[in-house]
Amino acid sequence: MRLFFVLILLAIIIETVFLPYPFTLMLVIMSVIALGRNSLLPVFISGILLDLFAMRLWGLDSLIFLVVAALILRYNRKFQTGNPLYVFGFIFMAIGVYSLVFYRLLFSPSSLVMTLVLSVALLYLISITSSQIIGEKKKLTV
Amino acid sequence: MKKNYFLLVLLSLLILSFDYLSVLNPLKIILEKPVMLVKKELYTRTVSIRLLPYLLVNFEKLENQAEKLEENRRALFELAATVDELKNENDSLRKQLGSPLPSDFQFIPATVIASARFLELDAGSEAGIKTGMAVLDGSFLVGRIRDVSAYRSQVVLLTDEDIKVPAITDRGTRGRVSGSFNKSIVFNEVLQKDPLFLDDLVSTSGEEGFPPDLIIGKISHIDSDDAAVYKQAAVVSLAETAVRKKVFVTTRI
Repeated sequence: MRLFFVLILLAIIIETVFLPYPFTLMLVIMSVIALGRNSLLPVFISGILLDLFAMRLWGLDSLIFLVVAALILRYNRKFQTGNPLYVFGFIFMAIGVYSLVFYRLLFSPSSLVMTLVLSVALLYLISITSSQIIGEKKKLTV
Repeated sequence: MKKNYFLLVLLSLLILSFDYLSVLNPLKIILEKPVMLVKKELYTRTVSIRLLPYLLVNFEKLENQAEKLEENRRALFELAATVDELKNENDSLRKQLGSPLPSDFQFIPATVIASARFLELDAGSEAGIKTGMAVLDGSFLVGRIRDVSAYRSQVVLLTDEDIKVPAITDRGTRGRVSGSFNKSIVFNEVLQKDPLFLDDLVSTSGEEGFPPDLIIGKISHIDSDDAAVYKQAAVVSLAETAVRKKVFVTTRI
């Protein structure tokens, strides 16, 4: 969870200071996939923080993030979040719509590559951290 | 768990409506200062890093520019003497006419603290900035104030679709400048009969609250379809956006 908040803060700063790209949304999607329902409160807080940094109406991003979280959790089984193809599809769709609405940006080749690279990196990070958590749990049960 | 979810959604909606009604402004004012400080520090300290890719891509162009600047510098030394002389003459004439102010525009200096879709400035309503004011960098138009809080303000850039600037070329052709997908500037709503050529200089016409004669850019490509009512052109900005640190917000007094 600490890692999540560090990454979220980093994403918010990069997104609002340097580069108009929805890094925070991507992290939110990944955190919902990794943490499931436990991620709802951090997702809400991330939205409020992003609103504060981006000078938007407070609550707007948290509402959007919660809707995205609901979609992922609701269709968890149908979309098979274990399958990277479904996850990539969802990420590309969500990032594309968010970029268009908030940053008036269409997918360019560079942003497509960035989305793909970030998705792969974050999925890899999720798989590492979740395997570590499972390992710790196993130790505890033994 | 469902209960928690709906509670959070309800809380978001409540916060959203409270903020819409400006109820949260006192809290926002308290939190804005540290946020602004963090953004300002990060933005100003990383200028050299952000400049690196720009320098690498435009190395040859910058080298030529440096040579031209050196020539201009020499010419400026000669001009400086003449300007001093004219300034003294101008001051004495102003005194005679009883108008000490050089223009009817008020300039508010501001530092850029972030540059994502919008440019963010470290000055807000406390400094006298209001929505709709024009933002300049020297004699170049940067954009228009979109949103203002107590200590921060957001600027819509010329590359944004949300901006519309009445503009005129050096040949007297009128039209409107707007952005396209945060990448390019378009000069549109130009009548088919009006002359438009490559390298024409586009500047503000002085309407809709924008000061006149501020440079927007040069025509780089003309898109003309005889069947259409208007023709349009792509404009390339002449301002150095990568190194922008300080700008001026201006309004007519």
